[in-house]
Amino acid sequence: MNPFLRNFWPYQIWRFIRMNAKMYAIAKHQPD
Amino acid sequence: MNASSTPSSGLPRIVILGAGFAGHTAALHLSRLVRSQAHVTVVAPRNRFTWFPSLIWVGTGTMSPEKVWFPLAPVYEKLGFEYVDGRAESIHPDERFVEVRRADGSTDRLTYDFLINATGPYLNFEGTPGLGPKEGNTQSVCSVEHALGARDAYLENVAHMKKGNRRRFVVGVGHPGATCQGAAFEYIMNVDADLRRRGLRDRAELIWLSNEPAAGDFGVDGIEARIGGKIVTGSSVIDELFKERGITPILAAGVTGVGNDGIAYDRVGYEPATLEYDFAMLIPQFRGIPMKYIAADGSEITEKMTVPSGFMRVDADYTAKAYDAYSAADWPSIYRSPFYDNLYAAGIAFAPPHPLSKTLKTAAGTTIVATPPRTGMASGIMGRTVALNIAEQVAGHPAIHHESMSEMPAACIASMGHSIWNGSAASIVMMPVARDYERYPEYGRDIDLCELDVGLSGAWTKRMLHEAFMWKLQAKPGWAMIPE
Repeated sequence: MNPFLRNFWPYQIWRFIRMNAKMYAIAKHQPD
Repeated sequence: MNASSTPSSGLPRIVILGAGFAGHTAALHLSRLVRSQAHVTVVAPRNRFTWFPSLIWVGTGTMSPEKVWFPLAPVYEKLGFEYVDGRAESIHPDERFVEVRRADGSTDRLTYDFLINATGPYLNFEGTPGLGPKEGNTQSVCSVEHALGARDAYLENVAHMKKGNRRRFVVGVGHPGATCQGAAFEYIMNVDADLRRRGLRDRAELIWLSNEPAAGDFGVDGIEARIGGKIVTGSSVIDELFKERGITPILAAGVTGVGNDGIAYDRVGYEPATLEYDFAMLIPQFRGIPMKYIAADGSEITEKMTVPSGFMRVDADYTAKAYDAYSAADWPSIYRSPFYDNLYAAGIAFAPPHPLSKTLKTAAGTTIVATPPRTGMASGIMGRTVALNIAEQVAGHPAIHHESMSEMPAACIASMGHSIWNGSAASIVMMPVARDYERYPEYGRDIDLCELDVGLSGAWTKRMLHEAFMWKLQAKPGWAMIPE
């Protein structure tokens, strides 16, 4: 985990979008 | 005692005990599934829903308590449900009623056709001598009142540090079999961030005291994720964070007592020891809410209906087995009592079949085990699953919806600083929570879905989840579009 990237806004904006898209997708997942 | 509260509508009656993540989510889903086909009553004390994930911020004084709770009664009025401010004292599954003690001290008998036990945890401070904010020597962030107490004690220590004094903060769990390490981890990280902001970090010693076998275990046997093409473990990430922030971890340790002069603990591979402290925030062991189960003949059947820790037995495999023999199939999938097909337990109220993490034993004989957490997301999913199945049963169909902890995902955003400008959080996604080595032979989880990330974006996500769920849980327009 690169300490510089942890607070580098452009990278963090991309991580925010990616993480939330992933969380939304798995939260919508229902086995039945 | 009041007269038996049975509606005269002739509609099936659904009673929900508890309005935390599981109970309240079940109520929300029942409102869209069976609104006009059933009479729903929710029994919960204190007329409020608390957004527990933000209590760590109340406990460091960075969020006001009003922002983490809302009154339940107006929400249930909007949903067309009955709300009872009280607690269940006994369940009578043969006769299908619950004895409830209302806030005014009166008792009431609520009959039901379907019952959801979502009563959450009993905070077992008595399980560790000297633990707890009321009669003990430690703080907690398990309720709004506890978090406010922790905040005051924390700020008192901050005041001492401002005068040039050094202080030792011990944060973690206060029982060898405790769970909820994630909340304690967030708390110590937020204390660290707050002390840095105040320019006082060099006057504080921070110690992480936990029953986890390794850092980053969190009671779920840790986490792995692929980062930059390499598999990275949660243990290595949390270890790195502790080193960076100067936090000393004491792992595989069970707290056995807390006196004015120190915290006694027993640790795997070490002799029992005592740790001096100025401030301690230790999460207690969780047990089932004390509640009796009574058969038709008046005899008590609590032992049959619950496991020794007081949590309710459901459709899990409770056969005692070795760690290597644990199976994904052991976990309950519909959260229904094996004895009554109209009685469910969701969230923390259901009894897990076994831990997810390894059980350890100290030389002195103390059993150390980080018991499985049932986080807000997991509890919400269970509440939804139970609501779906009750709706099926109301319609005369079998309960077909399933989502065990070996099928469900979990997302956990562990705050490490509140600020949206320079805060941070560890974002963890795992699928499934309970490892399934038959389906995913290598790691027991779908490694492509697992995520582990540290950075500012986690602080934004944590804040966004707070706002989104406070909206959803108040049943505001579009709530159903926000998944559990």
